[in-house]
Amino acid sequence: MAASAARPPRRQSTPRRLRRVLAVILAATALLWIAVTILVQGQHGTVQAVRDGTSPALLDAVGAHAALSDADRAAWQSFRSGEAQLIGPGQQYQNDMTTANQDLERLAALEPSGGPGSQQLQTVSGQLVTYQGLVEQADAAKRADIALGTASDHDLGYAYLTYASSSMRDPQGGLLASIDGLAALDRRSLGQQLTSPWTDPALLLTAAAAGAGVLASIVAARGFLLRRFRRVISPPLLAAAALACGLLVWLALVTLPADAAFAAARDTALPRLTGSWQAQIRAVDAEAAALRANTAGHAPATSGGLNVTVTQSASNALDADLAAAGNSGGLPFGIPVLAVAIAGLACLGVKPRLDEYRR
Amino acid sequence: MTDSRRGAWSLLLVLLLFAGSGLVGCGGSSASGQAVVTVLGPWTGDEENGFLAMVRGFEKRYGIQVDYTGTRDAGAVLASDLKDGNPPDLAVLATPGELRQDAAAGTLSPIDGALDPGSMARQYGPGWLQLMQAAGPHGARHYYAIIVKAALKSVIWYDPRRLPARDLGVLTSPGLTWGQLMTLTAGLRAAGTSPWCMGMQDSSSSGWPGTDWIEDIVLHQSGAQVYDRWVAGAQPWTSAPIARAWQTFGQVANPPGLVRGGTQAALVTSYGVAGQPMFASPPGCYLDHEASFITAFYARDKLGGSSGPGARPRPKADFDFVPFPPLASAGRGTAEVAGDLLGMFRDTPASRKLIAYLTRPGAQEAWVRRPGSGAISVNRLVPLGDYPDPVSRELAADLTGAASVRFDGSDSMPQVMESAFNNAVLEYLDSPGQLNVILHGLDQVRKAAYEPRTPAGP
Repeated sequence: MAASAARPPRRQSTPRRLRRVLAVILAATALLWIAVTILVQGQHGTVQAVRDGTSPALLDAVGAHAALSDADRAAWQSFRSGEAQLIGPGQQYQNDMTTANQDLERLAALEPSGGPGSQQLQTVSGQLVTYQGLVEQADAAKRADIALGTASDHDLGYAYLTYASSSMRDPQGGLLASIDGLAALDRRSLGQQLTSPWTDPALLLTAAAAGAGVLASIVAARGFLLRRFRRVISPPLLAAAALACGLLVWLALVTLPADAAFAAARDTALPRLTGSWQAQIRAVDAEAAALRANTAGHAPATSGGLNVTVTQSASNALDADLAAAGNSGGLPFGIPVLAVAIAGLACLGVKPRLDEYRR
Repeated sequence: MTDSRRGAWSLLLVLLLFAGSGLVGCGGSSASGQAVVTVLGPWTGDEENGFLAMVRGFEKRYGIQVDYTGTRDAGAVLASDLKDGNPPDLAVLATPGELRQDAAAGTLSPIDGALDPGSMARQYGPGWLQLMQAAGPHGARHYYAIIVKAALKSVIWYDPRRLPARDLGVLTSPGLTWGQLMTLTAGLRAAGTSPWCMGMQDSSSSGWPGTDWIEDIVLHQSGAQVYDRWVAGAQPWTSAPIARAWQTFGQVANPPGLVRGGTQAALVTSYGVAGQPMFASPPGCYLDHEASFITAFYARDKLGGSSGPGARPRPKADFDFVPFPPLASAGRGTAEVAGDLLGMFRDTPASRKLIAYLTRPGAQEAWVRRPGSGAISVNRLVPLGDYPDPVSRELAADLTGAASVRFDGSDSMPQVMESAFNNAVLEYLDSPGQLNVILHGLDQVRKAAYEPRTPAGP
């Protein structure tokens, strides 16, 4: 202090420099706060959009496709086996239609109103009514043919069921093609989200850079205090540096496993689930084609339709991955608390020196 | 740190945080703000491409995007959209009957404001202009739709290379009669090949190819006057002229060997592929009663025999047509036609602009010029030279120059009658012995379908 008193001009510049040092630490802390917040919010928002929006929408569309494919197979199975005489298209058909309707209702709730998906859903809704109407006509015609006995040369019920199948499976604008169009829209959105930079672990480097800025500003402050006030250790600044390091470690411990879970959902669980649906769709489509082609009237052996157990386990795995990816580990609350604590400790570390100049 | 400095720091932090949260939230895309016209129609595949080619010039000229949805079930989708209160801006109406119903109900908007009456009269014949009009909710007639493209229905298709020369001579002779045609088909059957290709399947409205048969027979057997009364609901289905037409159709469809695969195959064969066997070697059938748009399907078929792999039927060389022959003197000189009507469900400036644009010859040329499109314009200012092949030119000349035309009968009937007619054809093919029951059933539907309003002619 005596040396400072001997050089008046420098006594005026030291408080200013102290304030500047403090300002740099606070600015770096604010930047760290912002960088980490953006990182966590961006990652969390992406995972949430996938988990609550595009992923279920895609899976509902694929599930509706599978259920409808199986409904067609079940209706043919019922007609070919002769069960239709008593139970129409059959219980499995009814179950599949209920499942498809539920899938489409959920999908409608997820699609933004007025968007292309919403318009496509209206098309699907109309086509679904047409398909069900044709199956009902097939059932009625089948019963009428049975009532006519030998007066009927053929079986109009099969003809109507053929129309129903065609309206469903027409690759150009049929019901399934429309649902696939919906799935394609969701797949495109999902693809963009799955490759979002927010879930790239490399983004952690940004937060690390911001953290390094805080540490550098604290080290610089400590150097200044050492030169000007011969203070080797400033406990508040040391604690602030420790908190900044702790925040970065916490961030890494939360973000890296979340990114890994998201990558697992993207690269493994989701393809496995959609692949499982696609395989089942191919199987029931092949069965339906065989049943349609089997004009001899004997139903070929069938696999019994969709295997929900297989898709359920794949669905559970996807849910688990997305839940892990969405785990923010308390960071949304911890970040502001730690940032404020770092700022406060920095103030505590510098304030006593500033006070010396106010006496 | 002074109070003012602390305040400045706090403000800076808040601003930075806002900026940060803004960065997080800017992942979505913003709407371009470009005007859009939504269109619903039954055209898919090549037909869809034809329509998109038609509107490309519009999009370029006006900077308005046309968002087209094509599905074979456009009628059902439109009904669902209307029920939800969310119809497209424009939609292709399945039939003039539907046009009249939607106009009377007020769900369709009049398009008079989009059209120039003088220009329309120069471009379209009076019969076509009448088809575009209907009575609104208050009874006044307005333009409610435009005809985007049309088809000639009273035609029979054949393959000139595969039809035996003697039969080809009979078929293409001027003044071909129904009796000559029946003798010709009996000869072909006796030679071991079914003469007729036939397919009744079409998505949600299967059976209409059979209604086309019966309509053509009524028109060419009993004349336009009976046809008009029948379409207007004033001629009972059980009356002699209509019952006779059904029986005549039955003479073509029901006897074994006249239709390829029999009626059971006809029931489950799509109308679009029914004519394919005509191009096989040896042919599976020789004659196909289809509307002019079938050329778009023929162009996608494969030629059999020594034509080489992948060879496609070519107009005139591999497929040509003759007019449907008269069955009686009353049936001469009138052709059955059909058209795709585009109506406006949301009256917006962009919708009106598109309606006006689509009536012009320049827009219609874009579709008819496409090879294999099967599209024909009823706009008289579309030059015949714009059609890509001689068959299309002949069809267009017949369509625009016909002295007397009648619109597709089932399309002109109320929707419920049309639907019953379609199903009745299927039932008749399934159980020909039930014709009386079927016709009585149709009369029951007729009473209910026409009762609520004054019968209207085509």
